[in-house]
Amino acid sequence: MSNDISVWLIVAIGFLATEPWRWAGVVFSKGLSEEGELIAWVRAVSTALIAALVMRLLIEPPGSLENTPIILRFLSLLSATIAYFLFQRKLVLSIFIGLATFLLLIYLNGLMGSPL
Amino acid sequence: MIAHQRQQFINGARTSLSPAGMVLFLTFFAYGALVASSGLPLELGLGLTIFVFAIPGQVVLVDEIARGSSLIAAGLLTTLTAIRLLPLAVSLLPVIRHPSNPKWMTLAIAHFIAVTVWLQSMIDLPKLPSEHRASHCLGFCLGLLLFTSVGTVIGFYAAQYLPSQLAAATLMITPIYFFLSLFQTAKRKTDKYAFALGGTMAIPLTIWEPNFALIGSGLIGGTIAYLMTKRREPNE
Repeated sequence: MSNDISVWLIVAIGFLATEPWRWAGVVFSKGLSEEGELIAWVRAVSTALIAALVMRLLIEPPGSLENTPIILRFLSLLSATIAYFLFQRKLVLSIFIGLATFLLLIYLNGLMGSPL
Repeated sequence: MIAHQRQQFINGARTSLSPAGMVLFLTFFAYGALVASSGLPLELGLGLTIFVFAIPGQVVLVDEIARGSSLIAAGLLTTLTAIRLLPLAVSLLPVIRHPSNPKWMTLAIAHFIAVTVWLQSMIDLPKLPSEHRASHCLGFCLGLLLFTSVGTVIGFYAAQYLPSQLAAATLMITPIYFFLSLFQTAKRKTDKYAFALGGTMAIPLTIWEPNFALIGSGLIGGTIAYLMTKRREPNE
């Protein structure tokens, strides 16, 4: 992965996987209906995919998150979600409440000799 | 006229200091941390921020590469997250269009179309005279590009130098952000079902075969959600 060719190959793949949809938007912006059936299906697939990505990032997490108990990751998500609906859908505040919960639980878990 | 446009551009760039800009800074910070934690180089992380500029696609691509998936599978999943940019572009561009806009400007703005830019622009731009909108929007987009690039770099180094528990916490930002954003963007019944089905299906699928979890839950869960709401009643 350290060689430059594969880095730029991956950037090129990312660009080519993304940009044509924006160009298509430019081309079609005069005629395509936002409520079309195909677009409704596409939106459903990408919504389900992102929901799945959230679960995979929590169940099989990257890096040092892997060394934390899985239950704490889900409790952190739960607390952020509760905060989100409690405090008028304030995104940044809710994220920080989720992170604070996560760090607090990790600390408490450590104090109790990591029972989780 | 030119002076006016420069002023609009600067105003737009200033708008990037809004809450929307803060959210993006935080998400790209978290993404930078993900890139470092996945053992991938900064050039890759920064290159994707500049040339892709759509965080779900970037996270999917980085996560897939880090798991050792094939480039074809990684590209396919990325493109599935990116198709949703098409309807965003379709609805935003008519707001910006004006006979005096050069073509390059439309294409440059199109590159930055993503959920946050779309949301903020649909709020701000209609308040401006139509000949000022493109300059304003381009200023906003370039301001965000600066923010997100800086966020990526800081996140990348933060993940390496923070104590491991704080580094772990930075990796929680992305899943929390995506999860909460789905409540914001899934307004229609179809999308709500897709959110619930995709998330639920992904749990057993990830435990069984993580590399199949996204494509399986996305295509199957999304299609079921679509069919369920299509047969019963029209959307909304």
